[in-house]
Amino acid sequence: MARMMAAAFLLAAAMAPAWPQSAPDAQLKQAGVCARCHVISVVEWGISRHQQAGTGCVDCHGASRGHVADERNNVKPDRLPRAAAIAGLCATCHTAGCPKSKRTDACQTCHHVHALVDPNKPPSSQDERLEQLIQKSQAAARHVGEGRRLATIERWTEARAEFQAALKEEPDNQIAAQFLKLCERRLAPALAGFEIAGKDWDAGTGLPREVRIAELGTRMVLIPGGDADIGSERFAGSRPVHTVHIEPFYLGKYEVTRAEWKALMGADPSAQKSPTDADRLPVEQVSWEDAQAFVGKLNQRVAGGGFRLPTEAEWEYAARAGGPADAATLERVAWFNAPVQTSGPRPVGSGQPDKLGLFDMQGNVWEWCSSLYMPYPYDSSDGRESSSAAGLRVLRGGGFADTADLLDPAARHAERPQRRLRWNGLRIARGVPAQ
Amino acid sequence: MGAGRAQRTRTARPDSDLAGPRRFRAGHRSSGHVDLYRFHTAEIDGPALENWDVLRKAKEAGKIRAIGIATHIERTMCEALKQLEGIDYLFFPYNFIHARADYSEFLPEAQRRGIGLIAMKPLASGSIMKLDPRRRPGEHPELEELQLWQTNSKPILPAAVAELTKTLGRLPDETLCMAAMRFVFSRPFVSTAIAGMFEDRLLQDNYQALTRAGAMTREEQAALGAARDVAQLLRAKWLPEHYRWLEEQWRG
Repeated sequence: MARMMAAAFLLAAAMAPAWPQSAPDAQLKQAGVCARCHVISVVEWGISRHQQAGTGCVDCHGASRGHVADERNNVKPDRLPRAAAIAGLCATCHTAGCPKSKRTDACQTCHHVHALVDPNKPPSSQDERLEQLIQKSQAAARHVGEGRRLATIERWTEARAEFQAALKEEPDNQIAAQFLKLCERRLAPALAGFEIAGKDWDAGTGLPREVRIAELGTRMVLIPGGDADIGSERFAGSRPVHTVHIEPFYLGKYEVTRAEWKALMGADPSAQKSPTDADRLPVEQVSWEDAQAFVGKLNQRVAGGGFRLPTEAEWEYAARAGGPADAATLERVAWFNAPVQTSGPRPVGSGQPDKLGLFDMQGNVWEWCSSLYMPYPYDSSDGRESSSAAGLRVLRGGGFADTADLLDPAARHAERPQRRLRWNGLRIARGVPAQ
Repeated sequence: MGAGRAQRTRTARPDSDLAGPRRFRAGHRSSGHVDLYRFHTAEIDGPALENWDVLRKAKEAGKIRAIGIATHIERTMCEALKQLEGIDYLFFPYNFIHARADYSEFLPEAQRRGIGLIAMKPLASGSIMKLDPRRRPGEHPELEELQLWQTNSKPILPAAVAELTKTLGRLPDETLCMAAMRFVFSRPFVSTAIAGMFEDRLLQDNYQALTRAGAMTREEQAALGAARDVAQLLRAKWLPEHYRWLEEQWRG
C-alpha cells in the first residue's frame, strides 16, 4: 500500500503545476468538486484504468448532491459500498466478472478500490503502464524544467522546443502546454484590436499586463485566470461561498467615461449636469441595455471584437484579487459615502489603483455585469449568461452614495435591464483575443 | 407580520437634508437594523425609484428586514407592484367605512405574490372614535366640536344615531373603536394594522381588540353597519379636512 501511494504521489508531483500556482491538475479537474476534499482518493483513481475509461466518482458513489452541498460533512455520499457490496457495484459494468481471474466476489482483495492495482504487489510487477508513465513523466519534467529555465532568461524559441519535446513524451502535460502557449505568445505578442501598453508581461500566460484599445485609447488590464472562492456568508444574497474557475481576460482599467461613451454613442446620458472635468467622469444613468448597445458598437468598431460586460464571477474574482484589505486602504482607492459625504461620482483614476492596477472597482459608480441575478453558486451554464433572457441584471462594486459595506466585493445588487439610475455605470471586459 | 402579533417595530427615514442621493441611517443603533421601513410616496417616478434602490441596498446589506410603500392612491399601489423590485408589503388605507381595497386591483395581485398588506387608518385617523354616541360630552373636550350629530346634547341625525346607539347597546363591553379594529383584523388578507393613537384609551381599546379571539359577531357587524350609515349621512364632515381624501378615494 505504501509503495502504491508513493507511486501515486510521484505521478501527482510530476504532473502538479509549479508555475503558475493556480493551474489546475487535469485529474483533479476531471474529478470536479470531489477533488476539493478527497485529494488522495482522486490521485489514487488517477493512476487507474477507470480514469482512462472515464469512469468517475459519480459512477460508483452516485451524484451525492447532498454530500457535496454539506460543508459540515453530516450528509454521506449516495453510495459508499463496503465488503460484499463492492463486488456488486463492480458487476454493474464487469458483468462477466474480473477480466483476469473471472471471479465475481471480493474484488478488493486484488484491487485497490480506487487505484485498482494490487496493493500487496510492487507496482513495477503489477502494472507496466505505471512504470512507463513514471518514465515519461520524468522525461517530460526534465524538458519542462529546462524550458522554464530558458523562459526565465527570455530565450523563447529554445524554450518552445523544450516544451514541445515535453508534450511529445506526455501529451496531456498541462504545464508544458501552458508554457508552450506562453512561448508562442511572447514570440508573436500582437493581439487583434489592442496596442500593447508598457513592457510588463504576465508570467503565467505570456500576455501583456496592460493594453490599449487601438481606436479609443481605452486602457485594459489583464486579469490572470485561476480558481478562487467567491460569495460571502455576510450577505444573504451572496451565500454560499464557492469556488469558480476563471479564464484570463482583460478588464477596463477605469470605468467607461463620458468622453468614451460620447465618442461611440454620440450623446452623454449622465444625470449630473455641467460638472467640471466632465469627460473624465464615469458615464452614469445608463441601463444594462444601454451598456449592451455600447459594447455592441465597440465590437463593430474594433478589429476582432469580443468586448462585453464582465460576468459577475469575473468581476468578483478581479475585485477580490485586487481589492483592499482594510478600511484605510479602501478610503484611498474608493469613492464612497464615508468619511466624506459624496454627492456624485469623481473623475476616473482620481484615487489609487488596486493591486491589479484597476481604478474604482469599489465605489464611484455601480458597474453592470452581463449576468442575470440568480442565486449563488455561480454556474455560467445554467442560463444566467443568456443575453436575451428576461430578469434582473447584476450590478457590482457600490457607488458614491453607498457606505463601505456595499463596497464589499461579494455584495450583489441587481436592477431591471431597462432602468437607468444616476449611480449605475459600466466597465468593459474582453476575453483574450486571438493572436 | 401575522395578524394581531405584537411586534416591536423600529422605524427610520432617509436623511431628508442630503442634496445628493439619500443615505440610509439605521434608526436603532443597538441592533443595527430596522425591522420595517416604510417609504411614503404619491408617485412611482424617477426620484421614487432612486429612493427605492437605496432601500433595497440597505436591505441587502442587512440594515432593514422588510421594505414597502405607503400611499393614499390606489393607482400608485398598482404601479408599485409593477415597478418596485423586492417589495415586501403595501401600507394601504383600510377600515370598515373606507374599504374600497376590497375591490381593488392591487389586493389580489399582492396576495398572489405573498406581499404583506398592512392597513393604515384602521380608525380613520381616530375619527371613528368620534362616531361613538356613548361618548359623553365633556369627556374629551379637545374633540367636543367634532361630535357633529349632537347639538346641546340633541342628536341632529336622530334615526341613524338612535340605531347606532341601540346596536352599540348590545356590545356592553366593547367600544366602536374596538369593533372597528376587530373588523380590520378579521379580514384574511390583512397582515397587520398600524393605528395612530392620540389618547391612552385608544391604546387600551386596540390592545383589547387584538387580544379578543373569535370571528366578528352579528352584534358587532350590526353596530359597524349603523356607524357606516351615520358616516354616510355626515358625508365627509366627520373627518378633519386633511383626511377627507379617505372619503373621496377609499369609501367602500
